[in-house]
Amino acid sequence: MAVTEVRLTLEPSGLAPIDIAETIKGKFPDQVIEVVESRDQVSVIIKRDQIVAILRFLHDDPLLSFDHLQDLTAVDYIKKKEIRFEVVYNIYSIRYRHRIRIRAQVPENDPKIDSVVSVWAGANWHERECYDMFGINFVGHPDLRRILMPEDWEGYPLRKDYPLKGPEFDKDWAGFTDVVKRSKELREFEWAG
Amino acid sequence: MAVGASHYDFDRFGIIFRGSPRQADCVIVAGTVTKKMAPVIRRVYDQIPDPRYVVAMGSCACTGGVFKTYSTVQGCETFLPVDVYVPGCPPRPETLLEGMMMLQEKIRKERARWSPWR
Repeated sequence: MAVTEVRLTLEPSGLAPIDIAETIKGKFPDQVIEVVESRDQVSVIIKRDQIVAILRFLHDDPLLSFDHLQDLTAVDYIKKKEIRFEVVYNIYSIRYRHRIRIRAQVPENDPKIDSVVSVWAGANWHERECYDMFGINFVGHPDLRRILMPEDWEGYPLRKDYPLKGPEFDKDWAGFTDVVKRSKELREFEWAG
Repeated sequence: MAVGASHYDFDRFGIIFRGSPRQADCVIVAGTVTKKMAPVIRRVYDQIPDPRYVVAMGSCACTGGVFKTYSTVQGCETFLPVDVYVPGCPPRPETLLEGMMMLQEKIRKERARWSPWR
């Protein structure tokens, strides 16, 4: 079948998420650790090594055609699982209207995983946010900087061992402590009416 | 927004929104103040010519509200001299109007000195 004819097909594929999980398992048997099903949602837990190859396959395969990365985030399983982080990819096929969730395990002592910006360009800011909040390094990312927190912020706020109320004032972000100190100095010059 | 529009109408009380801090007498801090935003707000305040006033609008600007977290400033009085606190989450338009009228009352009670050195 010519590629153009495939592209014109907009019918739902009829593939259940568990079928897609089996396809991944058949194609990458040594990479899949576990397939978890919960409330009709299927997660495939994989090793991080071949992440780009697996997602590239899911994106490019004409029968799967996962052309939309809905979300990319991470979960901190500190004290709950042996491997601390999981990077979560929620992917969807706009053409075939099926979806699946891929979870890649990332250990604490070496928090890095290959970037998938080459597969979905939209992953760029998601990976930056993930790096900002969890400190996971996305190898091969074109511009891995913090996206929400100030660039010279210390620590990764969404890690479960990060203090909820943030650092003590004298250890806080310098940009904020500077403005507080400066406003105290300037207070005597305020006009009291 | 509602207070500025015709239902409540700030203009009736001589309060007119300006496009630049250099033309303003008062800044309304409306919404959560993050630590990253604090230096920016301070800079806007520093650009206002004397006499100048600050209204903290809403729970978040007054105290930080429910956000007692790493990124939120616990009330904008930590780095700004606030004149009027308008509570509420969000405040009713009438509440903000009342706050601005309280500020006008405060200004009316001032001695007619236009600067610390005159």
